[in-house]
Amino acid sequence: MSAITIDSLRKEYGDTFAVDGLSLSVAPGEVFGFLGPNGAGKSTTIDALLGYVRPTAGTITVLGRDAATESRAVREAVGVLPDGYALYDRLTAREHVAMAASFRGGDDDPEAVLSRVGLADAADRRAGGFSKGMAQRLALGMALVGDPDVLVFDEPSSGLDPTGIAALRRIVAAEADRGTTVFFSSHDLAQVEATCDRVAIVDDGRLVALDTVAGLRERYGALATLSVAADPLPDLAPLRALEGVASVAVDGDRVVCRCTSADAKVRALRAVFDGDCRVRDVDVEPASLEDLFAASVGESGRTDEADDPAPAAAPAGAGPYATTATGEGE
Amino acid sequence: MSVRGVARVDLRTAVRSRMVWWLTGVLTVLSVLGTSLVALLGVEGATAVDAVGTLSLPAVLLVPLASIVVGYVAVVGERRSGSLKLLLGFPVSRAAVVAGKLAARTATVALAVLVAFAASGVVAGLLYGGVPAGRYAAFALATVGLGVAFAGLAVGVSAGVATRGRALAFAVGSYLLLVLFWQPVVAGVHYAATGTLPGAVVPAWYLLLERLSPVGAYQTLMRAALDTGATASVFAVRPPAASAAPLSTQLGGDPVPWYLSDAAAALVLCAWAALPVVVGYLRFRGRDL
Repeated sequence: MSAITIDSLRKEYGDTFAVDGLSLSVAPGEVFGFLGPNGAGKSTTIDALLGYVRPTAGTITVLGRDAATESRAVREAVGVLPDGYALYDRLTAREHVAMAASFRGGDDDPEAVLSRVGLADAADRRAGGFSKGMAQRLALGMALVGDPDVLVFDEPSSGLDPTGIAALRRIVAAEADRGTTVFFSSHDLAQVEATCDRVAIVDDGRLVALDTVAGLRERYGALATLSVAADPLPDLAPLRALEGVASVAVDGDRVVCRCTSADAKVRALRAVFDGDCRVRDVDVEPASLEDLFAASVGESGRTDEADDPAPAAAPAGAGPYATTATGEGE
Repeated sequence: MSVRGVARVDLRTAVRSRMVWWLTGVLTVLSVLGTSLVALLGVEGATAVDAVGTLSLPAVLLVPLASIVVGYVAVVGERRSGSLKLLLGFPVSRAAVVAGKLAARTATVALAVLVAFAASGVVAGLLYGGVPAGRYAAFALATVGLGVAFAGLAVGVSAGVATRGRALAFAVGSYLLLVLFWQPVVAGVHYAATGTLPGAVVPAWYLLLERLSPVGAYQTLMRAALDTGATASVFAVRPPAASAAPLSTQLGGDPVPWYLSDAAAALVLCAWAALPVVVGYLRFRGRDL
């Protein structure tokens, strides 16, 4: 039995949809990254898993329990760090953990939980005065209370400083060692790479890639953006014609080429040099999450405005999702 | 189990809410003032019962207001802020959330009313040399019932709507209708049905309509508790003497039907405490947060 099974999930809001036919399955003990740009449907999926919203169609089961009809049983098994939550301003950190323990029937020592997330010093302070990072640490601690079999975190690193992120990674690793299933959403590729066994990439409510982190890296590892400052700017047409160059754009005095292989970077650079320009600077950026999305989407055969055949018209350096992904409410 | 958990969290935050302390303080001060009024004005021949009876006007106006203030954001406030996501991340049902909130908020209102009545009871005892304890306790209990009825209404509204603004609009609307304008509205119904305004003698259904509002039911219970005919009402349509007369007189000698009994009035208060919450929960149950 899988820990989490999402089957043909669809969620509509009015005449738009947030999730459209999403299916995936998470094995027990797996650390599963749920990756996608803002507005991709990650939070909606997690909200449906936790019973915060009702799916329009499709089902989610957690350890064999239906998330819509047996929500309480699901939440017995799941430790939750939701998105868009608020703490109780008038309760202290300790009282929050005690509350979690009372609802989960656990006998966790609040002191131990708080020191695990680095909040021992703030145990008796009211949450109303907490920074976003402290609040996130406290909510993370509350999710761990009662040793749930499944942990569901929605953007757990948001608001955390580097120390907090390191603590989060340690906690995820320790929970994984104990056999806990961890399902978390993120738009941070590095975070996912560091902690996950497998990754699902969603965009526009649909699954666009599902693979191990190693597999993804193998598939898209060669992706990179080559940025060359040249004077005068080279002719763009020959660059675009090169094999392995996905797009070419101009950003100020730089020409920016998205390349899909290591060879392509070299070919593109050589083409710029051959164009009789004085090259002042060269930058190579490894694939960003946007590039990864773009590549995934390209493979999944999506054809809409994201695959605009005239990338020069788009702001240089910005992935096609930089413009389409923002502003969508989740 | 989780109902108690929700109520405990809610009460703990209520105890630390300055608003709740202010509300209790204002209620207490105004009750004490109301009780002292008879003595301060030097009314001749006023009894202790008359003195505590003057409490009923602040009670009718302020207790429903206090209940609404305490109750109208109970659920929707957490829904908008996001703390409901925290709460519903635990194995807690939405029914338990609504029930726990209802329990905590009614307890808060009840406690505030009891504090106010205890303080005025002491003052009345000093000023008028002893208040009939049984009657006074029954009066206090009826007032708690009034507070609980409006707290139920407010929590029900809070569960049933998606925004604070709508909750406030509903709550204020209910206050205006049920506390201030109920008697004119019922008189309007009388006028529509009979072509005349209600006078000294009225049909039984008219009295029933009057008592279907929590305030009407409360006044019935208050009269029974203090054994007085006097009532405090806002925008009364009938002459005060008419509504202070015994029921059989008001009905023109007809037998008094069961639904005009004191027990029926208590039932009305219970219904106001429960029904809006049930409706609110049913609306809340299947909604997206």
